[in-house]
Amino acid sequence: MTRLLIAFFLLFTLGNAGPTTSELAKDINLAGKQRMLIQRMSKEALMVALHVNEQEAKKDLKKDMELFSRTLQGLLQGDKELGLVPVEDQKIKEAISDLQKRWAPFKQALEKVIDGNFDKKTIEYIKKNNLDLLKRMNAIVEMYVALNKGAKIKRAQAINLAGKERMLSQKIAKDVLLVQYGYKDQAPILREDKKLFARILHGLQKGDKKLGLEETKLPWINKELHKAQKMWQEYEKLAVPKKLSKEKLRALVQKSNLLLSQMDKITKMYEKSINREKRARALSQLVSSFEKQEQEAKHIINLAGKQRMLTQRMSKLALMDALNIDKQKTQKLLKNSYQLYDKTLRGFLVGDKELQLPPAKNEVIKKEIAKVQEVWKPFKKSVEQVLASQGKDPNALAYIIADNEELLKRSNDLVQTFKKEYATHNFLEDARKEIVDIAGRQRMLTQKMTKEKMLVTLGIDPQTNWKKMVTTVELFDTSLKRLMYGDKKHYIIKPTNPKLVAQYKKVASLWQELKPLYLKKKNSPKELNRIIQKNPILLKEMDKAVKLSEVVLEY
Amino acid sequence: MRSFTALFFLMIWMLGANSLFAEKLKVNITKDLPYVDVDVWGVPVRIQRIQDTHHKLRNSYIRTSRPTPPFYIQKFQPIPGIETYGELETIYFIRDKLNSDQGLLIDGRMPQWYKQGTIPGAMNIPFSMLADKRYTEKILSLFGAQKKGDKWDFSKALTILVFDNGPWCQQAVTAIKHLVALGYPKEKIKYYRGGMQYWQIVGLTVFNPITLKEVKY
Repeated sequence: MTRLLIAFFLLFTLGNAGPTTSELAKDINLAGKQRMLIQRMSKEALMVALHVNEQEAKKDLKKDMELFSRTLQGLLQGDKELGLVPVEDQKIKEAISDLQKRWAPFKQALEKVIDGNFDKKTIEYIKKNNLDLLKRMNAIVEMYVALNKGAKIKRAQAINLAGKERMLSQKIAKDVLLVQYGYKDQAPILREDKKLFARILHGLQKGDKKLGLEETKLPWINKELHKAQKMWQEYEKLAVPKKLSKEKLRALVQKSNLLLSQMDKITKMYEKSINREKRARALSQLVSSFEKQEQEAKHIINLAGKQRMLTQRMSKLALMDALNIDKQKTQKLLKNSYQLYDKTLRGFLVGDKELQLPPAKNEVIKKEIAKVQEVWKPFKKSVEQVLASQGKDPNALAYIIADNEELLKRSNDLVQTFKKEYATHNFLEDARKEIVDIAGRQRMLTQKMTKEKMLVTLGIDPQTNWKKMVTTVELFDTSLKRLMYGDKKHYIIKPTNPKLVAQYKKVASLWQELKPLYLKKKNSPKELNRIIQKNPILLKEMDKAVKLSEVVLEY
Repeated sequence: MRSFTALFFLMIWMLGANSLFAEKLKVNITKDLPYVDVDVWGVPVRIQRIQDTHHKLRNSYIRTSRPTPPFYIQKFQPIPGIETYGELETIYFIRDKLNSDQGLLIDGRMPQWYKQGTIPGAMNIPFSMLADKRYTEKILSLFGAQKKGDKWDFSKALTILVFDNGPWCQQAVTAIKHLVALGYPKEKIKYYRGGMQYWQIVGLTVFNPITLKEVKY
């Protein structure tokens, strides 16, 4: 039951509609990139103001403004070309809409710079408000990351911080340009930004617990991080809070752009690696849920098969009880057997936690269970009477002898229904279920032949029961050979697993000793005693073989 | 003398600095390829050949024959339109498509076998699972296909390379047949026919996806 609930939970949660892992990753990446754009636009505006690569800066600024506006809109309403899906989360929607409102006056200020229609107040506005936009954009990114709860991966922090490095590369250049513009108070901010950039870069390479970063182990990412480290060393030297020449400022801007594209490349590499891991985790969850269901099918077929054995075991034990063979032990075993049969049959219908049985949902199966119950009710009563009378109720015993085969037949019909219900329509899987069924039937045959032997010995319908016993012995014999050597007609693959082969050999060796005793017309009391003693061992060893067949897959 | 030394180092560099400083292996994959690293949950797993030239298989893959049915030999190209890969193409696929998240290597065997050892970087999708309607939709989405109404758009779907135990095993072919039936484009499906047996015959790395360790065989 618990397994089923887990499986349904997994199916429900995994099958839920909404953005796919890669779509969400794309949204997170582009939302993250917006942080960088805010800083790059501010940097470009300052380049214009300071006449550093002025024309180029104007062109880039226009492009970045368009991209920023489009991405914001895309995050809200989706953008096929950018690969963005519309956001569904109401809080994120509201935060983006709010940012759009704040972006409008900031955009106007940038436009003023492009048109050459700006003054110190405009630059002051940009200086003051770019950080507010950045803060709000960062909050949106965090909200997107939180959406990604389902497949939380510790390494995902690398995407976030490598992405942040893109922003910092631009922010540092902007800080330097602000200093050039006369804002001396920017110097400590520049120092902090440089410190943070260096720390994240180091953390990405070697790990940083406080930042939540693990050491990067993939050599191809490490190679690129190493390149970024070299670029940073050159960039860092230029990013100082001092008055710099135009030439140095141009070099600074160029290096900030190179570092940005390098960090962008690295962010994408992390993204790919983490996407792979997320996909692998999701697939493996699906496979374990599938595996549990498959195992459950085999388990049910095995238990249904065991019920057949129990019908014959109960009959055999009732006879042993009547014959006063090992009375106390026999009565105990008979009680256990009928209780187990009863519990399992009920479990098939309403489920049983202890037996790991789910409740029946299929109507065909429910009907088949009802058919078994019809015969089981009076049979159960007879077993109870045998137990209560210490084996001295001849009517109850007669009922068991007469009706056990009908109960066996109906129990077998239930096995076949389960098999049909769980059919997979592929040779290997169906073959495996067939093997579990036939090996399971062998357990029943061990009990049936003993019961028949006892009926013959007791002189109860000796001719019919002798014939029946010979048929049972032959069926056990041929089935054992099929299980050991394979049988194309019956979809039985010859076992190759050494453990299973060894187990069948063990059964065969026991059988070799018992078979002539069953087929002997008149047994001495010693021989009969041997049958009674060895029969449970044969059953136990056959049961081991069934359990092994259930789990050991042949290929 | 100085120019002679410079020329000497230049020649060495021209001869291929990479091969000079790269790790030297006794048994390589190809002349220029000693190994390939594959990203397994953020950790590189090295695929290379067993270096002991006297090594022999000891596991069940030393067997030549298995009972038929079902273990008939598969055609070189069992499904027209689906490309068959050998070991090298599989290794190149791992190097070029897996690490860049453009492809998926699928072990189509049952989970019990996958868990005992697989090709590094492979994900397990048991062949019969692809015929189970309860799972197919989610699997296709994870493969990158997008459901639009009642139809599937496979334009962004990943290229998939499927393998099983070897040329005598039907599991990968069955998996591929299921994928084709689901509408997965044939050009985006590849079949590694050699499977686990041929992979091990040439001594390539086998990886346990549960313990995340190399499997000695």
